[in-house]
Amino acid sequence: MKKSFKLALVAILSSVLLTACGGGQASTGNTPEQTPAQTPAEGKGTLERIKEKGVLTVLTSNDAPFSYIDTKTNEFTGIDAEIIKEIAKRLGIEKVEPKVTKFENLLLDLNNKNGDIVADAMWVKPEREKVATFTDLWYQQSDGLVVQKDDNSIKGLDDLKDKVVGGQKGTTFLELLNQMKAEGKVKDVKVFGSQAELLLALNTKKIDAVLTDMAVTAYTIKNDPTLNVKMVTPYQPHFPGPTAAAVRKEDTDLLEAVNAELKKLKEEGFILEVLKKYGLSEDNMAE
Amino acid sequence: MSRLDFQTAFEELTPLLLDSLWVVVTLVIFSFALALVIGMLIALGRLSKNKFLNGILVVFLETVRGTPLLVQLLYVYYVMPEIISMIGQIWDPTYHVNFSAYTASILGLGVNYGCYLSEVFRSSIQSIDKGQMEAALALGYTSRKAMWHIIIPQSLQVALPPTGNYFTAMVKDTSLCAFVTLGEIILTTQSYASQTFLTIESYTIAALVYLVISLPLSQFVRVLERRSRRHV
Repeated sequence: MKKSFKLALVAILSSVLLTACGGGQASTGNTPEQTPAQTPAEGKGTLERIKEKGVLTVLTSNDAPFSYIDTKTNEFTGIDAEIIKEIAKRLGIEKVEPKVTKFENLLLDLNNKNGDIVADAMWVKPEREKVATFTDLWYQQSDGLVVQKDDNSIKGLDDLKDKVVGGQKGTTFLELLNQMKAEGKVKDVKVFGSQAELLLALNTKKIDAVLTDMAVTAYTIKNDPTLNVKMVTPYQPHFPGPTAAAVRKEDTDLLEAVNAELKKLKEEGFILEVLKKYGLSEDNMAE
Repeated sequence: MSRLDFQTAFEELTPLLLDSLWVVVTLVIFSFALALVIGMLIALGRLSKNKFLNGILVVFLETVRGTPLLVQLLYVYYVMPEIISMIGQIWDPTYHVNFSAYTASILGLGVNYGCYLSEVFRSSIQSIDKGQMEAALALGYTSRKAMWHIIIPQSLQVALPPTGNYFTAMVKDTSLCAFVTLGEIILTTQSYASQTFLTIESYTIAALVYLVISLPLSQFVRVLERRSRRHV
């Protein structure tokens, strides 16, 4: 009697757990995005869907100064953020919601439909173009080298032979650093998950230099003078840094709409204004 | 969906993973050795009659067992060097120390697993019949000699299965060391996958590499267990 009672109890508990999981899935399956009438293949494009919902979901990795959430005001702000917010306004989309994920996963999340567009100073690269479509160029912003404040031995990429350099996962900078390591031009490369971790490691002397976006370094140092780091200037950039936003390959309607508004914003001088606000200049304008 | 390209991933990723594999294997060997030593020391400390020692050890044990391993690794890598540097700066203002990712990983894993192993050792020692200690003392052994020559050797056979368990678990926990920039399997795979977007291929290969390490290890532990029972 006791044995079969225990057995029955286990059986009941497991079936309760299973139905709870199954029930959870069923309820999430009923959100508007997933009802059959609204898949892009059946008529309504992504742009229309977004306009109906009234929200544009922007994927970002919370990187200042491009596309980040200001901790004091909780607002989505930055160079890319301001541009995409203006574009959304002109397309009649009321809200822009940021969705934060790791930089190396941005395009993966885009294709998993966790967001509508990626706007985080992503450079246009052939490998990336295989998985997503990039809009016309937003602006150009190249690389920068950051070192410790009292380090005068590093003036450029050629001075890294016996140095440990940090790079962020998923970036072109890390690719270049790994190449340089294979050629013996860099002693060791350490991989970090975010710009903030990179600068922390540099500040605590775990690495000798950081290769990352020029705008990031300028902005971070300006905003936190307690950091024991400095930008290498003058510095010969390695990459031209073509920056654009990315959408899914099938979302051609969204792509065209964004490109059309982008062109107008360039002509009106809006883009240049935003660039200047964050310390960039005409040199960063792109065709 | 793009077609899967296992060949490219295999050719490009596998050489990189061989280096990571070596890092993981040596990391596990050193960390587990440290964990065994720490585990035994803490176990004996907890069994001693000294209430003060017992109390400190209990606080330490509960802290380590009550916080995630990842938090401990981050703490050892980022926080401890800063604290040590601050203390050192009292005497020498330019003093700054840093743990390499490898050192921090060994320390973090070793201390964490040492705490869990100490409970295994303590309970295995307590499981040995009290008659053994009484007999040893009656025969003229000192308490300490009895412990090391009679009790502990017998307790090792009891402790072997759970210890082997923790050993195989540690191999998988090395993946957390990616967060302190150690070039182990997952970090190498992530960097490769995020450049080439061969996500499915890369992570499948990474999982297979973990299996290649774990399966022989569990077999080894099983053989050890069988041999330890031979003379019982």
